[in-house]
Amino acid sequence: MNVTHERPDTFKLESAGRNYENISALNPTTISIKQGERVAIVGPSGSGKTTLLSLCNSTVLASSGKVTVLGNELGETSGKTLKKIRSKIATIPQNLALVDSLRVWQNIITGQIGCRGFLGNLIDLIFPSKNKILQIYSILERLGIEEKLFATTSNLSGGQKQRVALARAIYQNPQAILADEPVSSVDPARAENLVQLLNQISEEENITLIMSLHNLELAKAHFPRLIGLRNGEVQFDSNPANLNENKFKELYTLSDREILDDGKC
Amino acid sequence: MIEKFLMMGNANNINFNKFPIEQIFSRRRKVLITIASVAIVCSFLIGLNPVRLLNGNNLKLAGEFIGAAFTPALDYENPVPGTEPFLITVIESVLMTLRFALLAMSVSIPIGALLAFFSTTAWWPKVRNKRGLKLLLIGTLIISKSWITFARSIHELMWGILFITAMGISTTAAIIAVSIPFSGILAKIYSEIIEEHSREAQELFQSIGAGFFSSFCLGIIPQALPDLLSYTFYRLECALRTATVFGFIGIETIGYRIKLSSDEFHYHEVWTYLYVLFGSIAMLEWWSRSIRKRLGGSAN
Amino acid sequence: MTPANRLLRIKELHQSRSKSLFLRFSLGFAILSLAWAWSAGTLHESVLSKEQRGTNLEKFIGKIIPDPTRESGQWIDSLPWITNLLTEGQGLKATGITFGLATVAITISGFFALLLLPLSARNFGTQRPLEIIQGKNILRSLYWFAINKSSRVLFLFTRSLPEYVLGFLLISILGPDPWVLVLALAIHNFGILGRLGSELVENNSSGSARIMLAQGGGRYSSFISTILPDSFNRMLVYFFYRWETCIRESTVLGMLGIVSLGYLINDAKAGRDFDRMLAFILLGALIVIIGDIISSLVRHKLRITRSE
Repeated sequence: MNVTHERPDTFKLESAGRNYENISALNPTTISIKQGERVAIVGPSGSGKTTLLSLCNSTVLASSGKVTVLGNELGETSGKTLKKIRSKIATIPQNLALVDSLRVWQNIITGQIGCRGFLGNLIDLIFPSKNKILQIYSILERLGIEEKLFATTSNLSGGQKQRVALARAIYQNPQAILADEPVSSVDPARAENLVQLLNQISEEENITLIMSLHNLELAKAHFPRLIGLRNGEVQFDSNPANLNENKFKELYTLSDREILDDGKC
Repeated sequence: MIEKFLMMGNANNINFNKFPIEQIFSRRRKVLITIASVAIVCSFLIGLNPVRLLNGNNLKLAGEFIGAAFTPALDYENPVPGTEPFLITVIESVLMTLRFALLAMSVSIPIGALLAFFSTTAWWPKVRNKRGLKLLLIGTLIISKSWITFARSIHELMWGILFITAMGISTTAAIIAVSIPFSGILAKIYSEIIEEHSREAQELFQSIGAGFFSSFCLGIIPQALPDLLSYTFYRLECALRTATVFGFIGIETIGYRIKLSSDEFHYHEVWTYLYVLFGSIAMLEWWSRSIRKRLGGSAN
Repeated sequence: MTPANRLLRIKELHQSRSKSLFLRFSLGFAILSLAWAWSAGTLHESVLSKEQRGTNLEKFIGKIIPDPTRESGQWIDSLPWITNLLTEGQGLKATGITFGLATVAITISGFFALLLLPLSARNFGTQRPLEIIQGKNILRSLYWFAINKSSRVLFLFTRSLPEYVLGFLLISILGPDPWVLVLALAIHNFGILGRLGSELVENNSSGSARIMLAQGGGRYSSFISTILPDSFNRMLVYFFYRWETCIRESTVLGMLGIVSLGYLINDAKAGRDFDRMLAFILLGALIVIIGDIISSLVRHKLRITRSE
C-alpha cells in the first residue's frame, strides 16, 4: 500500500446533507474519497445509500453543505464544466437504465454520450466507426458476453443486462464508477464474479469505485474501505479489519419502528 | 333478491338499519345505470321515435339497399357509352383517396411532431436560476397546448368547408385544412405517449454529461417508437376515412363517387365502393398489425 | 484473439443478427408510396381563375366579422346578435340535440359491442377459450372459427364506414330524422368499441376467467363475472373517448339535414352569411371542448392517462 504520494480527491463531501420535504435522507456528512479508492457503502434499505451516490454523481443537489467532485464544487459549477465533470463519472443505477429496444452495442456506445454533440451521438448510433465496435467487442469479451454484440437488449437475461450496463460504464472511460446495488437481484456466484470484476478493473485503471451493497460478506471480502449508513447517519468509515462484529450487528438491527416505516426514501 | 339479503346474517339479530345499499348499488352498477338513464332521457328530448321510420316507402328502399349488398356492381348500372369502364373508375377513386390520405399525413406528421415536442415537459432541462428560460418554456407549452385544443375542436370537415368556401374547391386547400386538426391530435397523443414512458435512460444520460436534447431523443424516443408508430397507423386509417368524407364536398375521392351513385339510386355501385373502401382499410389494418407484432412494444 | 480474428468474429455476428425482412420491406414500401403520393401528377384544382379566387377570399374575410360590429366598430354591439343566434337561430337547441345524439348513439353501440365481445376476442371465441378445451369436435371448432371471424369482420366492416357516409346513405333511404343519425353514429362506433374491447379481452392477464371456464362456466358467464369487472375502468375510458368523438361527429352530421349545428352551418354558408357560419363553427368548437373536459375529468377519476 504505497500511499506516499498525495492522491487527488475525487469526491469530497463537507457537511453535505440532503432533505426531502423536511425528512432527512442523508444527514450532513463529511467524507472524502481519493482517486483510485475502492469503497463499499453498506446499510439497511432506506439508510441513504442511494442518496449518497446521487450526491456524488450530481443527480441531486445537496440541501446543505458542499460537494466537490474532481476539484469543482457542484453548487457553483454549471454549463460546460458541469457536463465535462459528469462525463467523467459513470453510474450503474439499480434499474440499469438501459434502452431495451436498442441493440447491445448501441447501449454501450451511449456511454460516451456526454463527449459528443447530438449529431455525433446520432451518427454513433447509426453508423458507428469500426474502431468503436472493436473497443466495445473487447470490453464485452472481458465480461464474457461478446456473443451478444448485436443482440437486442430486451432479449437478454437479467445478469447479462447487468453486464451490459457495466460495459457501458467501462466504455465511458471514467475516472469514477458509482454502482448502486449492482448485485442485489443476481445469484451469489454471479454476484461474487461481478464484484470481483469491478474491483479488478478499478485497480487496473485507477478508477475510483463506490459501490453500495446489501451483502456484508461480499463487501468485507473485496473492499478495503467500508462506510456504514443507517438512517442517513454514517456509523463507521474504515477498513473492515478494524471493525468488530458488534458494529455490523448494530447497523442492521432494526427497531420495531423502523420495520413498520419500511425505510425512508 | 331482497328477501335473500334479509335472510343473510344472524336470524335473531336482523338489523334493519344495516341495509346493504352499498351492495345493491355498487359503483360499477351506479355508473351503468346512470349512463343508461341519461341515454333514455336524451332520446326523449331529441324526439326519437324509431317507429316513425318504418313506413312502407322506407322499408322498400331499405330492402333494395340491403339486397344490393350481396351483388355489388361490376359495371355501371346505366352505362353511358364513351365513359371509361366502371372498375377503372373505382380503382382511380381509391387511388385518389389513398393519395389524399398520404399527402395529408405527410404534412401532419412533421408538424405534429414539432408541436408535440413543444407541448411536453419531458425534455425540459433542470434550470435552477434562469427565470427567463423557465418563463419561455412555460409560455411555449401553453401556446402549443392551446393551439392543439383549438385545432382539434373544429371537425376536419368544418376546416375543409372553411377553406373551400374561402378559396374554392381545391384539393390542396382541402389537404391543408385536414392537416390542421390532424397535426393537433397527433401532437396530443405523441406527447402523451412520450410522457408515459420511463425516464430512467434519459436521466442516466444527463448524469453522464449529455445535453438535454441528446438525452431526450436517445433516451425516450427509441423506447416510445413502437407506440408512436402504432398510433400513426391508426391516424392513417382515419385519414382514409376523412378522405372519403371529403368526397361529399367536392374533392374527387371515393366519397364523391358514392354520392353520385347514391343520388341515382344505383345501390349496387354504392356497395362496390363500400366494399373497396372496406378492403383498403382491412389491408391497412393487417399491415399495421404485422408491423406491431414484429416491433414488440407495450399494449395497443 | 488477434485483431484480425476479432474483426472476423464481429462480421460473423453482424451477419447472424436478428433482423426482420418484413420491417425493412415495409419501410421501403412506405417511402415509395409517399414518393408516389407527392409526385403522381396534378391534383384537381378549382376551376376559378386566380383573380376570382382572390376576390372570393377577400369577400370571405370581409364577411366573417359579425354585421353589427362591422357597422359600429365595437365588439360589444354584437352581443344581441350573438344571443339572437342562440335563441331564434336555434343555436342552443342545436347544441342540445348534438349532445343528445352523441349520448344515445354511444350507449347503443356500447351495449351491442359488449354483447359481441366474448365472441370476437381471439382467445375467447374459439372452441378452446383460454386453452380450456370444451370438446374435440371438428364441426364445433369450425363453427367457433366462423363465429369468431365473422364477428371480427363485422367490427372491421362497420368501423371502416365513416359516420358521414353512413349518415348520408341512411338518410337517402330513410329520410331525415334524428334517429337515422343516431343509427349512423351507432353503427360506426359499434365497430370501434368492438375492436378496442376485444383487444382488452385479449390482453387480459388476470387468469380468473380461466379458472371460471375450468370450473365449467360458460363463455358469457366467465366474461361477465371476471373480465368485465376487471377491465371496467378501461372500457369506461374508451366509452367516454368515443362519446367525445361522437359529439364532434354529430356537430358535422347535421349538415345532412337534421337540426344540429352542421345544418345551421350549411344553412349559413348557403346564404353567404359567413359571420353566422363562423359563429356556429366556433360554437361547435366550444361544445367539443366541453365534451373533452368532461371526458378528461372522467378519465382522471378513473386514473388512466392515455386518451386515444
